[in-house]
Amino acid sequence: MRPAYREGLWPWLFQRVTAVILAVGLLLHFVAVHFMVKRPLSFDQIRERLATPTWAIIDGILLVCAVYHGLNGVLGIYQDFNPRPGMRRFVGALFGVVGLLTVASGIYVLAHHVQAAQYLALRK
Amino acid sequence: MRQSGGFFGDLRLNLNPGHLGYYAMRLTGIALAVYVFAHIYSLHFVTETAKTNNPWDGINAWNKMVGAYDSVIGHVIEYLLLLAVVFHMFNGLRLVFIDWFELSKRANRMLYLTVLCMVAVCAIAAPVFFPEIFGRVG
Repeated sequence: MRPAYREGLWPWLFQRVTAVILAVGLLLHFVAVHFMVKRPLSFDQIRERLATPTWAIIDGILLVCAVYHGLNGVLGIYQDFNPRPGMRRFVGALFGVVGLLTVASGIYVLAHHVQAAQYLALRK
Repeated sequence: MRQSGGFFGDLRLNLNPGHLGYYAMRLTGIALAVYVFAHIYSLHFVTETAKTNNPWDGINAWNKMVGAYDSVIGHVIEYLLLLAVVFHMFNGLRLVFIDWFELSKRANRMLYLTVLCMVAVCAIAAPVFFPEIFGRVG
């Protein structure tokens, strides 16, 4: 039998740790998006928030945690159906690649938001 | 011993609040995982800037995309999303507390009740968050 730390301890632990980070971060995100802006929502409304490095870092942390938590959760559901070991490894690797690509594209988008926000702040 | 009847058979055989919560946690989890990817995709519109080298182009595309969400259907989806997040978040925190602090059965039951109350409070407080679909309060 393989030791617990190789069998699923780390995914279990990270799922809990990201859950706690997301619970706090999502509340901040929700308050910032729904109560610190006026309707209708426009890019101009969120410009000041994204031009602040603190918010950009918070959004970056949320991105990594949300993608990990989401994919690891769905992978856990898939494993509950008791797939063959080969398929289990394949789907795990596939989710890993999808997660890395999503985080990379998310950081690219976030960086672009920050860049556009700073551009507009300079023009003002 | 009676054999398990598969995914939905298990639910039928163990029809209790805890087991229903387990299924609700999974269903909301899948829905939220799908939403995270849609959310990241929809925010990419601002990068249209890269193609024309004019930051305003991307921002206009982004505003147009956000405008599409500003409809009754968009707000109903947002409302359901809020309820899914609240349930998934508080029920998830309950599981973390149980795992890490070895809570008693009674404390677990009280926490579960608290989770359901939080969902009910958010469902009732919806007009505050979404005046567009429920009418303004006051």
